[in-house]
Amino acid sequence: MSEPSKVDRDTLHLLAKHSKWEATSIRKVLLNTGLRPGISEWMFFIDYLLLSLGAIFLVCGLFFFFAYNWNSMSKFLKLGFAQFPIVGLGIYLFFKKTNSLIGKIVLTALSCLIGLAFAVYGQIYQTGATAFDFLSAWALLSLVWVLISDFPPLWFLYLILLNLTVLFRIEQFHRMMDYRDVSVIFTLLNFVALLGFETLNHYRKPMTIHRWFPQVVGAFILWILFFNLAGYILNDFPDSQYRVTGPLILWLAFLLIPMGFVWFYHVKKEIIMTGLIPFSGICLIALLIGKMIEGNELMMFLIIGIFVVVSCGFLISFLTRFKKKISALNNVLLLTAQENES
Amino acid sequence: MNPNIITLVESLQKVGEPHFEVNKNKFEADLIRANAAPTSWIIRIVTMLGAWISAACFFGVISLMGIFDSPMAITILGIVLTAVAIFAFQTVNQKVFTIPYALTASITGQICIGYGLTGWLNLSDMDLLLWVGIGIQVLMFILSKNHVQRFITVLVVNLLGVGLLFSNKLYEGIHWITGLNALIFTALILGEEIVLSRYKKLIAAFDSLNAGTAFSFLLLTFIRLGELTFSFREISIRFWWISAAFILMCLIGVIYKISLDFEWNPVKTIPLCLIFVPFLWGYSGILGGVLMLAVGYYHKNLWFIVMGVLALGVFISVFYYNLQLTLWTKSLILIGSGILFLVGWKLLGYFIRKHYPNTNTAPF
Repeated sequence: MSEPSKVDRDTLHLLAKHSKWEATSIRKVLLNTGLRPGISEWMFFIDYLLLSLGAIFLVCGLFFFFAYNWNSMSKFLKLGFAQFPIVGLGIYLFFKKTNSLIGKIVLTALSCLIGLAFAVYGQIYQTGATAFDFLSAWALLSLVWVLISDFPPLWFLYLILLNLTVLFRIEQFHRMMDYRDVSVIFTLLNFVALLGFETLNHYRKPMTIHRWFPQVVGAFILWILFFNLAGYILNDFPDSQYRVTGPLILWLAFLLIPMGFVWFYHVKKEIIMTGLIPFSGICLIALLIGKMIEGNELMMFLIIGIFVVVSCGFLISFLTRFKKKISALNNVLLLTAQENES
Repeated sequence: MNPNIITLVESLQKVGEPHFEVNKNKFEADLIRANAAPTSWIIRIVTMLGAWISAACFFGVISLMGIFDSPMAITILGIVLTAVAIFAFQTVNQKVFTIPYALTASITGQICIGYGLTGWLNLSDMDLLLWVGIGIQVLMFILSKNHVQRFITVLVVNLLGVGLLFSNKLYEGIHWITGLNALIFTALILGEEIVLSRYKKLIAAFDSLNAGTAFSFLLLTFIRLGELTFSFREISIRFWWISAAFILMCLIGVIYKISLDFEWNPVKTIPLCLIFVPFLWGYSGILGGVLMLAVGYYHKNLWFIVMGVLALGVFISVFYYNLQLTLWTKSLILIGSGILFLVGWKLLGYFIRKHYPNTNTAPF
């Protein structure tokens, strides 16, 4: 659930609309309520902007520098270039705590550099390793950092790495695999990650600022399941003799989509997935209607058009009521917090 | 009502801010209405997608029914649908359920009118059609009360405007439109308190006009990027300075406004910032990204900040890619710039610790 609501801009606009209020006074209110940044906030912003620009420019510059001189560099220099930052960051972590933000960012950088080191090693010695070998070694060796990091952005990057590893494994060794089976693998992989995050979130500490993680992963799972269901509706899947999981993807869709809806709507009260899941449902039903009256185009377009507009109307009403409920709940939280403070 | 708002109104009345008077009944009624229909970006996206899918289906129906064959019939249908949409938008604040219907009718109606007029008036002149389109959009903007609809109209007016300029081979006009968009959203955000105090009728359209012009500005800047890199060779780059001048003017406006907010002397701050002009003049894409970022942070608008960061990333990359220098020189320029930024960051850190000790700085 989101943070308790403060004075928001829309309400201030309404207040201004129905009042006689001088511009200088409004400016003061905008600054005092934090709707406009104060001087410390500007300093904070410029401080981070300069640091980010400096770091990005320097890293890109170094990258280009080594790229330009790559062929003329010795093997040891190349390996040193790849491994020196790993050792340096490792020493830094040895003396600093990993639970600070900087420690977590350093762990993320370290995990990325492991991949770079493998790439350089493979390039110098022409090991003949495939993309899967490279990615799986990278995933295996950065696992420890990921586990101790307690940092959702690194977990997210790691999940992308795992997805890519699986994808390349299938590309290289199981090219004939039916893509419903591929979908089952990806759905389960990402579902386990989502389940792990939510379990950790529930039993250890609530990570309100990292609620983007389950929403992005949830949306990805929904996307996989949506395209599979759409494929079933449109009979788009050619029969494959290599198919091993049977109708498992259908069962997963019928199980996970309602479960996800209940989780995001009822338990977590998050509007994004609560909106996306029913909207996907509307699109699937529209496809089903289209398939059922395939011969009569006029009726097909008419019924689909009416169905989509009516169901979107209901969905928006539902989402608006839901949003209202969340806002009311946030106001109660805000009042309780203010009472506790006083 | 939000408890913070109650406190705010009470404190303003207690302190006796000069001339602060609020019509409590109307304010509360409007607030209840607004709270009855709170919105979020996912609701807006669902509305837009739903309306476009339905409109596409209805075009299929109209086409299969053969109505497109009669220009008069399609024009009349378009006018009816647009009128229905306008009527629905007038009452839409009370009935959220009607928004997708109104938007579908509006999209279908406007395209039908455009198509019908082309055939009915036998318009060989594309200009007239584009002017009619702009007129319809302006009318929709004035009459509609819906944020999504207003945002779309601003975007469409810009696209039709570009079409009008291109059909007359006035390619450099794109610089004027880009600059004007920059000027509108910057002026609106910087002058928010003036709008709220004096131009009450503009308040309802404040967000949609901001978002529409900012998005159009970025879109047109990306199109202008094409003139330097990909196609669009015919767009004259002789007049690049027009948009650059607009953007620079807007940036000076931002600095001036920040000076006013913190009671600094603008006579001192603006010339200090003008030192950077010779280095940035000519890179209107990068300047545009900086403007978007600065205005976005000034307004604390996450979408503007994200758009600014993306624009900066793209335009700086394109700038380096297009530099007619060797990779060696490019790398040295990048390293030099990086070091300069880091030195600036360190110096700023000393300045902040000395003058604003309570400010949080980067933890290094």
